[in-house]
Amino acid sequence: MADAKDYDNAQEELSTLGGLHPTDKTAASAAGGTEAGRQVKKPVATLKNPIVNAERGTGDDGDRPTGPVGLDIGTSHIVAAQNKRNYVHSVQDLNAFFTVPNEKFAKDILSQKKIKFYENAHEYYIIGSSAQSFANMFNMNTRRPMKDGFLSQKEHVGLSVIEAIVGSLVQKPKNFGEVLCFSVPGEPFGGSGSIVYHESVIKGFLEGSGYTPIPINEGMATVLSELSDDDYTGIGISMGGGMCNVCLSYLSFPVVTFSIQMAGDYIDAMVGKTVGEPAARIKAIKEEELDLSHGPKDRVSTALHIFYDEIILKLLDSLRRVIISTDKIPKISTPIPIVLSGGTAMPTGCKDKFEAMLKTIDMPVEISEVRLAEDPLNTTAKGALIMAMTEAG
Amino acid sequence: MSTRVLVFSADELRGKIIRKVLDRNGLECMFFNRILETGDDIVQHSPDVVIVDTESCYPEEINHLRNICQTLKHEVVIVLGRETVIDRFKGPRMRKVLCLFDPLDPELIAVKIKETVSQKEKKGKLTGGDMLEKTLKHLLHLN
Repeated sequence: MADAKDYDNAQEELSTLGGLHPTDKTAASAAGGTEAGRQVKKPVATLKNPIVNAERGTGDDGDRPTGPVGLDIGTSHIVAAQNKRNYVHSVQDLNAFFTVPNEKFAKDILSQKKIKFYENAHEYYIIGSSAQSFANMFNMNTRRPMKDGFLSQKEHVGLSVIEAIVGSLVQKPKNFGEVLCFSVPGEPFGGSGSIVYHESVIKGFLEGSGYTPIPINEGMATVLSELSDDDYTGIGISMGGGMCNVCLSYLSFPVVTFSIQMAGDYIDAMVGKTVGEPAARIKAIKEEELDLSHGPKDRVSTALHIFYDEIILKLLDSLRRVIISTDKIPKISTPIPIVLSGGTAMPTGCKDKFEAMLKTIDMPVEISEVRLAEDPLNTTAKGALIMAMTEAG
Repeated sequence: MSTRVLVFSADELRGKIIRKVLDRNGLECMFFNRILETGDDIVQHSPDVVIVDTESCYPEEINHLRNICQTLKHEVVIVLGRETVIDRFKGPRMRKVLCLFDPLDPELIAVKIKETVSQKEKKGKLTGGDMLEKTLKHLLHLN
């Protein structure tokens, strides 16, 4: 494994390139049109372009990004980060799909509208944010290839959908064997799901695409992205859609990793059930209006506060129990920071709530501060890119 | 010349952490996790300090490490692990080794190595000085 010095070199290279943190958000054409694997036919085109975050853009989006890739394969979004000439380029799309019957006129419409889809014998699979638009149109829900951080047991086509989405975000490598670092979850604390299976099948399709895939724990990716000034010593917590991933790193070594299978989706579902609203609506309120720094103002925000409290408490309690029960942690002489990333950590006041609840827990290691990642949605992909650049040398 | 340290640990994570901290402390460090090849590695690299981590070792590996420790005459030996396991490295026929109990404290290991090596060097210098004095006295017929 690479050490902190190597990661520092990769960080330095990234900062020379301008970093990942967007000062300018632009939409650019996706790197679509590639065949992503054996089960996937050509993703035809894109209706809604993936979001592109870039700093110091040249405006020359025709150039393809090159070199190592950082890939965050999350339950709700897939994010790819890569160097593109003089800046770092990150693209993301929803990790979701929607099916329509395989009929000639449907294909024509999808093609005309430049909707991102692929076909199999019986159906067209509309993927990414296009799937959300279709689901809204038909007043239905999208289907999700992943659940609680892992490939969904219910969706047999889940892997091929992920292949198609990844294929639309990242082109096949220019040189065979290019390094791609992809995020994997930690062992669920008191939960279920096979990391070995999940990691192996994703690795398999990435190898088939010509990459040298290297897994990175999602919490560790947060550490690599955010804790370079702390010698990569601290706790990274990625609060995503399906799960929260935690990593305690000591000098860039992931000493303790685990996950809890409660995160954004859980909050949406539980609040939805409680107040009798669809989870999708709760998600929208959570992302657009929620302010955890002030007391709740209505039924929905009351429920959101309650379920945020539940998740943060569960995170802190499991962190305390895991640290107490392990003998792997070396003696750490100075207090260490906690950094929060992921979409679920983004509502105003989430970090402060976390900090306040931390004070009520008797944590076995001393914590210096709680921080929010600079760009929470792209943190995992950035950390994975740092790892990929380090491994690529 | 910098101090050469060999670390033997079946636990790769612990081994790498120790190596990194020792490197940062200016000690030239190598890490090996194939415990049963310890003897060959010591002969090949002739270290000043040997660190033996008993964590995650099988009983036969611990026996092997114990036997190896008995054969080392000139190297500083530091044994790491749980108290119950480390107790097996003590006894009338065992040479004296420095024992550091879990939890792993890499910074303490670095401090102990520096202390022990500097003591050894001082002792070495004194012995060298004594020898010189003896030789001079002999040459000048002062005895």
